[in-house]
Amino acid sequence: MEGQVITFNREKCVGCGTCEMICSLVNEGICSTRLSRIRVVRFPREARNAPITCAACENASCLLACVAGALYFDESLGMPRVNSEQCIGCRQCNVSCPFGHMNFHQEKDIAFKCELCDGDPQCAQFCWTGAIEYPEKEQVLLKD
Amino acid sequence: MIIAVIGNGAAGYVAAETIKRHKPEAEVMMFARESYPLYSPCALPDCLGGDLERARLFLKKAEDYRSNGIETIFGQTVEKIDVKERLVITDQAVYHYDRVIMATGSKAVIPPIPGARLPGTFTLKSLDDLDSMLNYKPQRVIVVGSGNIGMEAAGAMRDRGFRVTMIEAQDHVMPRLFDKKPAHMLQNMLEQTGIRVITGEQVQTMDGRTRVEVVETDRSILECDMLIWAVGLSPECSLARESGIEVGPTRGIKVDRHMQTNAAGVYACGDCAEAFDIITGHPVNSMLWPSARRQAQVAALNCIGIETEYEGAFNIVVGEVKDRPFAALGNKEDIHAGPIRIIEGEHGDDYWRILVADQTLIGMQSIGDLKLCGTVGGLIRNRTSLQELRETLKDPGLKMTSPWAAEAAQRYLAGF
Repeated sequence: MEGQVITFNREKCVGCGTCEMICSLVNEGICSTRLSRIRVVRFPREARNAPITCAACENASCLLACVAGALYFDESLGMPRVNSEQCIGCRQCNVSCPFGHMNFHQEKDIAFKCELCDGDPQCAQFCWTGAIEYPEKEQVLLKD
Repeated sequence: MIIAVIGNGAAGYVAAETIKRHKPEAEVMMFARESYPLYSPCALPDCLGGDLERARLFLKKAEDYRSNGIETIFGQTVEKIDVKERLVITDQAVYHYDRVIMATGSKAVIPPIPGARLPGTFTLKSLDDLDSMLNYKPQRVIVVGSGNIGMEAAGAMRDRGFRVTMIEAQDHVMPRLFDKKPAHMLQNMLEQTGIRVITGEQVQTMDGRTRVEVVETDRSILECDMLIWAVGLSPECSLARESGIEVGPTRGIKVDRHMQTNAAGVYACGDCAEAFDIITGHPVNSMLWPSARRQAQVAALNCIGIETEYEGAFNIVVGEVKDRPFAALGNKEDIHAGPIRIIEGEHGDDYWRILVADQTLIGMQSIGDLKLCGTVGGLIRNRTSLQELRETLKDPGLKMTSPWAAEAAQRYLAGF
């Protein structure tokens, strides 16, 4: 998983929502966009769709915002993670993320985010159009 | 290279950690008056209200300092920095440094009025404050001030079953963060939870035989047996003054964009430092956790020769009244001299407003649904104009390159 990165080819996304369903199913046990880490922004008039998840920012603003020591950078995953035991549900991270990615779990009263299913992101596994992939970083760089 | 870090709050710890990460061979000495490892002052009200165990306030253990290679000189008070000879002089010893980072923090303001420090009066800034509050058994509590700390302290005391009255000198609650209209909504929410809110009254004297019993404002007399001062924080810069380091107009230590003070090799960050506002460019004391941590990174990197500029302080404050969250981002109405356009909306109990000055987003206040506040916050920080957002909404290509911006624009700004 080290050196791998999630990529979106938005041209291929049909907005079916399979990624949202599998994400919440795997991580929360139910299919619900409300509890999905990934979200698809849909622009029906243009018939365009854009999945959004954690951008794995360098020096992420969510990390700077956490007052409870709950967010930390996981080096092997290459992205910030939430230690839910330590989270106090203050929502500082939620309003700090410029991509609107940090999510809030109303029932558990804690923040949650994409953690790449511990290195095997199911959204990429189940995306049948090939819009979401989880390639090696080098491959992505070569393409560019 | 020996780097002295003065203070062990959010800023001090991040500064020390950043130095060690980028330059492990640098020697870092951390000075602090308190002997506790790093804890979160922001979470003190949660602990006061009984939502959080005291042990969970601690963000680091004593051994974390050792394992990160940070030498701790705790329990000593730094009395002076000799900036010429590069010496840190404490009440017990003298230490040589090559660079020093001041992260001395801030202290809670207690106004100079009769009775202000009677037994039964508290501030909520440090762990010791919390402990003494937890040991005190009141019935009727008065909270003076309605900023973030006042709101949280009032909520915490109410949760513990006490009768709480909040007194705000300005004409609405959270005057530094919210405009009048949303502030009135917040006030209603507070009152619905059983907190009495008094605005536009100034506390003038306090009296009591063995402890605080009576509080007099310019218009009323109130009885209580506990009073919490939450009227603001002032930068702790007496050490800087003693050492001949310049203090700015906001009474914080004056720094440039590299967080360097007027003295060579001396940096300052966090609550004690006077930074500048990311939107207006004016000097401000941010006094916020994320700002302190970012400033500490900038100070630390410059200190070890990695040139970095501070982007400016950006207000992000979130709170909650009885499970209903609210947030204020960026600037409020009265910060700008020119005309401000307010774009606002309501949806059921939810309310939001976005402030626009010179066609550019400058602030947002929201009650209830905070889902896209972060995205708008990002747009504010990037000085996004209404025009750019209109173009994003028109152009399918732009929609796809920054769908989060399009999503927020569609939600809040379609039609403007």
